[in-house]
Amino acid sequence: MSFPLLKQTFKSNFAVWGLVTLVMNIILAQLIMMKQTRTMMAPMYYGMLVSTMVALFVVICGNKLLAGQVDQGSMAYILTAPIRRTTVAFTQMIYMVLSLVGTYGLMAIVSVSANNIADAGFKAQTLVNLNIGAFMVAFAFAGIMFAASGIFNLSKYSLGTGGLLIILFILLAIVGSFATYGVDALKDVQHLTIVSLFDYQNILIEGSKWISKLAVLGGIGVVTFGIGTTVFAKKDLPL
Amino acid sequence: MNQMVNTVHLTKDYKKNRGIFDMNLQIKQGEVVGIVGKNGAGKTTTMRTLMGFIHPTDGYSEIRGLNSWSQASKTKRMIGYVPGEIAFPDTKSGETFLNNQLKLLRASKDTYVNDLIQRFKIDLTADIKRMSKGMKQKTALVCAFMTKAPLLLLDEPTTGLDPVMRDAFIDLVLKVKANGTTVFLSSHMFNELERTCDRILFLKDGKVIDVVDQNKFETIHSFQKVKIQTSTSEGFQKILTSFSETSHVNSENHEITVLISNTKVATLLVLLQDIEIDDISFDTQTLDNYFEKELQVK
Ligand SMILES: Nc1ncnc2c1ncn2[C@@H]1O[C@H](COP(=O)(O)OP(=O)(O)O)[C@@H](O)[C@H]1O
Ligand SMILES: [Mg+2]
Repeated sequence: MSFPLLKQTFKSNFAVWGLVTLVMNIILAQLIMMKQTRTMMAPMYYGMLVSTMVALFVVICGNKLLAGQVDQGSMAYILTAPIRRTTVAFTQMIYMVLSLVGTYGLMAIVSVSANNIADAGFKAQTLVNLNIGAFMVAFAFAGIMFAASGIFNLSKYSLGTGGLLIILFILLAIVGSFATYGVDALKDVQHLTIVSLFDYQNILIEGSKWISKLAVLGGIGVVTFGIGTTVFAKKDLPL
Repeated sequence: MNQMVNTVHLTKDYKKNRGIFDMNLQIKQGEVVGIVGKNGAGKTTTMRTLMGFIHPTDGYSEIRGLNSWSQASKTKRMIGYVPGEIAFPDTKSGETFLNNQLKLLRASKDTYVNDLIQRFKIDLTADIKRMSKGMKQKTALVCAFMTKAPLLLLDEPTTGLDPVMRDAFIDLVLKVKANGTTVFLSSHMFNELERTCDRILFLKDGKVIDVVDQNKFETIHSFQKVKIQTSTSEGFQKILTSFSETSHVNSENHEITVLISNTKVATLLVLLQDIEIDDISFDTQTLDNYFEKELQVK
């Protein structure tokens, strides 16, 4: 890993990361603190909002980490330094994962604190588990975007594949969520999106099914991050 | 022998006759070698291959004996690079960018860097996104030279530079050459390289079709391009029949441009004694003329 590069990446993505993280935390705290929204908190936030909001960061930043800089041409300056391409990809990946850990770590702290302050009645462990689950969705999204970013030399293709796929997963999750409200025909839609592998309902009832589902999300993330790194190291770069 | 660059049957075939083909090039340490060719001739492809950014479809290239693709992270330790297309990362100012770059190179801002900044009269406080093409080019040049690398790969380094800065650039190349730095630079302007290069390769459709070295430079310079406008068509005809090698003929204006070796100038002058002349000019042949001729032949 290259520390100078990690620092540069951190700085150039700080604004988007900070904004998305801030908004996500504020909304989460709000939903827990307000009496009227408390019961709706999990389906609304963890069932829908959390993935949608983080996707904004993942898609914008993920594209910029590799494809965006190759497209723009500024990657030439990173690669004129004696750095291996795998090191570049690996450093960018570390940044992405660490910033997501930061976002969801903060959300775990904020949600537990809000729960205590407002005496909202959630178990702390449940809130932590919800955030772990939501993190795994973000991790898989990040991997998918990273793979697209590593494969393509043009932003439009990286966004058009990785970005589009992520949006599609979110839309399917939203449509599928209506199955919970009695539209049984929509149950199958849930099988079409990786977002449903985050089984927040099972976490709420303190079941154990959710753990193995999250492992699948983890697998998707690991494989796609691997693909992005490998392709980036081997392809021709127009720099 | 201190071989800096070595390419062996180096080929990047983009199909439809595009790319570079069977390039065999040796550059010794301390040499300054130029590569010229029209747009699309393959200059950038050559540079990218040497940088290890693109994988050759055939053959290979080496920097000091290290393969430029498989050992790219090692070869880049020896290279300062100016890309053909300049685009900087989104940083605030030129200063932030240069500092970031120095950190990536694990180097610090010393007197040499400051000297480069002054030499090119760079305003480091300028917003990097609002920089003109010339300013960007100069900043990119500083980036390449400040590596103090033994090999500089410069892809059209003078694009966008004004004549004063072009001279500053040439001075700098001569200065680093005196220190033993090897420079490989490309240009689509044929004449530009004459002042700095020991050797110039002429690239057409991805193939090196001619190499001009010091001997050939002298031969080229030993020719005169004489532009003559005669008053009468008889005089015009007389010149036309006596000198076969003409590069430009306009019978309406009685204008003719002949290319003659310095030794034949006397013969021309004798012939001109009996011809009424409106206008005449002598120019030493430059690479421009030479390559124009080459292009027509090949
Ligand atoms: N990635 C690519 N795919 C297909 N053709 C390419 C690619 N890169 C360059 N070319 C073609 O190869 C030729 C040489 O390009 P280039 O090396 O950029 O020329 P130059 O730098 O001399 O202007 C051009 O015809 C160009 O269109
Ligand atoms: Mg070019």
